[in-house]
Amino acid sequence: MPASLSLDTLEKAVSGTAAAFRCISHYKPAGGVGDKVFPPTYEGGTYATEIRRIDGELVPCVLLDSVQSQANRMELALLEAWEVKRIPLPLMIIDFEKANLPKPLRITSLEAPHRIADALLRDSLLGGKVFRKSDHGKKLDHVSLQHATALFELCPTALVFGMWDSTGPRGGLGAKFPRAMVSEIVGLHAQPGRKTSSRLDPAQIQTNAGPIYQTREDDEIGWTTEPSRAAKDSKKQPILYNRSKSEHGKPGNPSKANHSNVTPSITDGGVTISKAVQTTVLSLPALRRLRFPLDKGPSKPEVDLAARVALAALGLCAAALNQEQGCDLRSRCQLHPTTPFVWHLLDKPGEDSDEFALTPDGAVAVYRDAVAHAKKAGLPWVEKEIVLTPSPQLGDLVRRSQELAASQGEVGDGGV
Amino acid sequence: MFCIGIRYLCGWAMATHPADRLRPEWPPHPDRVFMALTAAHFETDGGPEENAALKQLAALPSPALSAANGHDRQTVTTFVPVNDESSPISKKGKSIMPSGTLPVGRDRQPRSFPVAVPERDSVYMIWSGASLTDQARRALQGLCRKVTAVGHSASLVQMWVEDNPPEPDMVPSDRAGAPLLLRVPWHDRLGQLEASFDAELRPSLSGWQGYDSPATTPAPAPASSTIFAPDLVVLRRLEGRPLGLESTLILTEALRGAVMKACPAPLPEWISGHEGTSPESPPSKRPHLAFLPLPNVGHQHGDGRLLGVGLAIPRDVLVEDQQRCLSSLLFNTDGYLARFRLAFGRVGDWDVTMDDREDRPQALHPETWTSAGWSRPSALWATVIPIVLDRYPKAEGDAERTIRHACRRIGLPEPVDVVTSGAPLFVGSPHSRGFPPFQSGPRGTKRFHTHAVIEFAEPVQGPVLIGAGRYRGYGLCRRWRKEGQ
Repeated sequence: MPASLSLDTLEKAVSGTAAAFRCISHYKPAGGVGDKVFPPTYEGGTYATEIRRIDGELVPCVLLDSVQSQANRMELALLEAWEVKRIPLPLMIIDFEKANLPKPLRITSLEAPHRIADALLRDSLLGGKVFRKSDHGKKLDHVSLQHATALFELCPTALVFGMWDSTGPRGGLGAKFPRAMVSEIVGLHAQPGRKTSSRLDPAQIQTNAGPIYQTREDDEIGWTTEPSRAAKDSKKQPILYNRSKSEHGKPGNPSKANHSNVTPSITDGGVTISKAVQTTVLSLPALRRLRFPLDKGPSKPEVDLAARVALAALGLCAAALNQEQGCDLRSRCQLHPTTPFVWHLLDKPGEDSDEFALTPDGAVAVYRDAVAHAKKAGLPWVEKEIVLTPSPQLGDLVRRSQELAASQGEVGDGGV
Repeated sequence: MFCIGIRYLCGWAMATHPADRLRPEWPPHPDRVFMALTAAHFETDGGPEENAALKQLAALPSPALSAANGHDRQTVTTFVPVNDESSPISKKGKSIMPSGTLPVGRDRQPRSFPVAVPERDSVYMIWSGASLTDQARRALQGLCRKVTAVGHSASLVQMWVEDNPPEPDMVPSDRAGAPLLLRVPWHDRLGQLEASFDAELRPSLSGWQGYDSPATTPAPAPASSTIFAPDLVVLRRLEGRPLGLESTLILTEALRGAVMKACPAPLPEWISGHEGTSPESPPSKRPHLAFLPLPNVGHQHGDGRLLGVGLAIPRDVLVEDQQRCLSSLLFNTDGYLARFRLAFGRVGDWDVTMDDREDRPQALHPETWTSAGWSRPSALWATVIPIVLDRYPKAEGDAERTIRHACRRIGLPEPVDVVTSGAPLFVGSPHSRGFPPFQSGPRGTKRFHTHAVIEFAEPVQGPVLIGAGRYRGYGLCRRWRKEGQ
């Protein structure tokens, strides 16, 4: 069993010349080998397939969870740990409590897609001022790789997962922090499968029980079988009900109101895999580029090291907490680990790498120690969450969006 | 010797090919690696020694590469949340569904992240005869360790200076038809990149270098070859109506027009095919540029469709002259492969670009037409497009004698046998009657043409373009097998 990763080891690695910590873990479908899993589908219903050479053989593979998706999961794992006070972490929260929304809402910097540089924070207020004009917000105008202190203070995850301040004062030339952490899951020996779709109506409503017609706007059900109660078109004919406007079923068919049976169909869907492989890499050169001056002068090496070690510990902690949460990627895509989580320190090419075990509790402990060291070195660290309120315009937009969603149905955005 | 090793830590490379935004770049181009080193230098305030080392590196000749095959991940469209506005309401006034970790909707824009998965995760760039100062070597050792990614920021790498590299798989080649084209840093590349950065512009692209596999086996005794170099420049059709072999003359004439228009003045004889610069100048007596169609023929599914066009360059044209005359047509000012138009008049037009793909149809591989490289020289050749005879055959054997003479005229030995035929010899090629007549001479006389099979005493190498229409694609031949194709 490899030794546990300690803070001391982490500090030696960050201050040395090693390239990365890498963890390669194997999984199988939770339903057992041979069970189907469903990868993410992209535009056109396609999967991201590829060929890899493994043990001399060309093997068909499929992407099961992308870099962006894995980063989102790691940030959510950090958020859950923060919520139960398991880890300290500077956090910005936009609280919509006073925006009178139909559904309560709170958005954190761990959920905003562009982190602390996200448009939601830009359109929110802190202490009555627009965020980027507030004392904390103004600090972001001057961050760079050589001046990363403010980000360490306010949003250290931006330094681990990357950030681009594309809508700040410098627009597209705003501060850019490349990610230091990359993770991805790929399924091996992927063979496409088929999936079935059908519906049996418990009320056994027959197609011939229709047609159904669209009612006038003041009717809450929305449809009727009586032509006399139907809304009329320009030729005074009753309008056949067609809420979903999908290609399935004719207008007027009870299935358009989600009644009656759906004819079973078989389409392409899912894959069987021999196993899934998750590769997670934390780049140490990426952290070594960052500098953390505490005053107007250049940064001090010991302060830089303390901040970089804390960020490395944060990245490893995020990965470990994400592993702890299990691998339920999406509907019908749950994976179970078959190997322990072992981290390799990649140093000299061609030489064996050192191995380390890192449990979630161990990762949290190392992270807490690293943060304590960083604070002792003089680095700023916001202990308590910073709460912003949405601007009236943002609150209004979100309220309208929730009301529209309830009445009209939401528009899919085609995202993954 | 100096070598840089690059290990892709995630097992894949995420970098967009400069000529096609939907395709990954593999192997990594030397200029991309140079840009990664330059970024690391400036982003870490590297000192004057690093700066000087980079200048020395850029001034070296192009490196050889050791890199395994890469397999493209299927390029998919990902919808990435925008950041210019936070509204969860679409432009059409509908509520956008929350997605990912964000609990409110957000407009998203399509993006692609092309990925190549190499069969080995390490690549080596090898400067065999390089001479760097010790100071430069040490500076580059430190600089390599600072590089985080090559390509997209997710394409994490480890980079180092390697003292014992493996043998290269690809070496720089100056021949016009080199199978691989990679961007390489030239001379003041560091200054160029700095200037682009200071001007807040994206970096301009650097120059292109052809690459080919090194000769690893003893070369066989050279086969007889023609006046044309075997390194055809292959252009593939990107857009435009499909055309058949019958449209050969229309296509090659349009290509000739495009080449001449793009060639900087003065127009050389090997491009124009005339001794002087005026159109009334007499035809050149020396070999000049030939234009040939590249049809889908010679196999079960051959249908005669033209997949592209090619340029056959005379052997005696210097590489510098080729680059001077053809670069502005084949590459745009940013160094990308150019897309240009061949106009056919009322038949329509084609958009074409140089084909640098590894995986392409057989018809677009130069070796298919030259029997060089993997294809091997052949003693038996047959016409895909009929040979134009410069005089009408009146007596028996006239056609065969004319064809024998035409072979010698392009540098080939006297054939041992010539058999003429009206019928085609390859699946997909029309009967000789299906080809419009070739017209030449001051009165535009229509010439006689015929298919033929030609046998030589020894294998010969192509391209084999014979007869009076050879510079316009007529008389295009391909290796032929007696028992079938």
